[in-house]
Amino acid sequence: MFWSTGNNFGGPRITFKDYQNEHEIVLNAVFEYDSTSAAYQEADHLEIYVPTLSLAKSAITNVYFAAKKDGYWCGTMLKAWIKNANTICIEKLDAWDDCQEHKIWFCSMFGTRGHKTVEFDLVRKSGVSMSHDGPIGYISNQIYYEGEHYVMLAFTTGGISYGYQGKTDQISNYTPFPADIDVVLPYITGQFYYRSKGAVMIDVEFHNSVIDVPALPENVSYGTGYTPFFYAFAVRDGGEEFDE
Amino acid sequence: MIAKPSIAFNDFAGTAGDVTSRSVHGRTILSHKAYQDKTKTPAQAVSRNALAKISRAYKQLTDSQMRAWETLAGHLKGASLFGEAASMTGHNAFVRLNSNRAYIGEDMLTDAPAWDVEIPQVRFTDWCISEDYICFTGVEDEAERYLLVAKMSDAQSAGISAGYGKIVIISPDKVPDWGDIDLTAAFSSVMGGSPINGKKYFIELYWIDSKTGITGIPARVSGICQPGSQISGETFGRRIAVHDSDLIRDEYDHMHNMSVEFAPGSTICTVDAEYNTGDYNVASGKAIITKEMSDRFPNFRAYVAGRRGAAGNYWPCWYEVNKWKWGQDYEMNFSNRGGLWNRVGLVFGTSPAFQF
Repeated sequence: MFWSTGNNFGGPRITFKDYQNEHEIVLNAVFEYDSTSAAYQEADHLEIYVPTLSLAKSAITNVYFAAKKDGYWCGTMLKAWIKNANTICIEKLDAWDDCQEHKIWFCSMFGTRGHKTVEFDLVRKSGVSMSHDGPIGYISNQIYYEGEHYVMLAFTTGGISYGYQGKTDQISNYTPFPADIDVVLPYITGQFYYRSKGAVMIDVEFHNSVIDVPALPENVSYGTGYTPFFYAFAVRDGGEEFDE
Repeated sequence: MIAKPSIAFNDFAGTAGDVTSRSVHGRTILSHKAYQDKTKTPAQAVSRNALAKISRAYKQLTDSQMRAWETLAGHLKGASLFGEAASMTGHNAFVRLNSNRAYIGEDMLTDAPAWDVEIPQVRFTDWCISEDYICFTGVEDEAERYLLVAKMSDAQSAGISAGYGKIVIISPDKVPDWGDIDLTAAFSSVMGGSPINGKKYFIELYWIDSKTGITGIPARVSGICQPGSQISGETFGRRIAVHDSDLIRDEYDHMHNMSVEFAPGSTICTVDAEYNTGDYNVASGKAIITKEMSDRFPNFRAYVAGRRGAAGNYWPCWYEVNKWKWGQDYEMNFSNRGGLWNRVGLVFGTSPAFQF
């Protein structure tokens, strides 16, 4: 775990949960910032200053972004990259600049390029068979990789069950997810809000070997093909600490 | 019969047949008639169109602006900032710097830039020129304002030692990609083919300051086209990466600005691509690659995120990226797995590469 040392957009001090080695970095963090700040307005892209990372530079990866419109967090994916060992950059998309409250979730893997030789060592997906007991629909497209230091999990769900209002859900795996994961991640609900671009997102907690889904937002819309999904990398606490 | 005067022995300057005569300091010099090269590279097209416009613009400057350009020219001529020490007027400096800027798509400067800037020289650790690959490696990153200009000759005889007069700009605005300057596609685009084994090529590289148009001292190399490093002769390592230039554009012309690359360790796949699937009614962007490219890496699957375009309200998505052989084709697929599919969007992210 480490803390940011500054940023160029008037954001807060950010707590990162991390796994780092010479080939990849996995980061988890969630934070909000004020898009009306002068620092944000002047920034071409967002920069977060951090203690020295294991990679001096990374290829493009992604982070989730949402803006609060009438109480709903609506958003998309943004590009992110490590510019140098002390700076993480995030693309600035001005499509939601009419909303004051912005939020970003890191649940991302950063990798490198430029290697002249690559010995291929393809990994195997881990077994997964998820179930749930609430209003989110049938879970499909399940992709799961359980590594020693992090997990990667992606899946989609069907439409929301009738009478979902106010009901929470809990997602678990037949072989329990690792108990050493404790992070807040976004769930793309498949809903949209007519006054905003992007998808409605909510915070879910991946902890105690389950994913806790809070009550889904009400008074928002669903459309054909708007598939809810979850896609994230999550750092395991049992992994070795990175020695700087 | 028409009597032609002798251009060699009379006091005459002009051309007769393929011979041109001119008088220099009282002596008559004969030379072969020069013909204008009709080859026009894209950079030359820009230059020829821009030169007249730039030249005319100088006359519109104020007296103080012209004086500033004269001052700049005075400093530039001794400093070899253009790679050659030559006398230069303010007008020369104005045209030269602004035509340099035109190459890289920058607007015309009317105020002379500061002259006391130091432009770095291009440094690299290795390079190769083979039939299918022209690349400099270990090129040091410079500040964002500097762009790398690459000039190359077409194929020359192996015995030629002075071929830098044949070089033309093949790429005006490269930046190192993880230390690499890959000129393969630029050469093919300008010269209309690939390098030929056994032929000699001359190359010049220099940085241009995009803010001022001032260029640095060029690095010049020449080499015979052959496999392997031009420095050590050993096998030249090559990244496992798929770009637009590696795609076979057939009915599946879906992927653009595509860049997929692999890194060692437990293999990591990084993806940055745009898709537009047009009328194709499957929620997947397709790309066909050559067998040679396919043979360089195994079939795989990776899972990365992305989003629809602005017209699709930026809806977030995730995708399976894979490579496999389908019939006679070697396909890469960017298949939507979650989120609202749209025929236009971006795929970007990093994922472990999984067994297919």
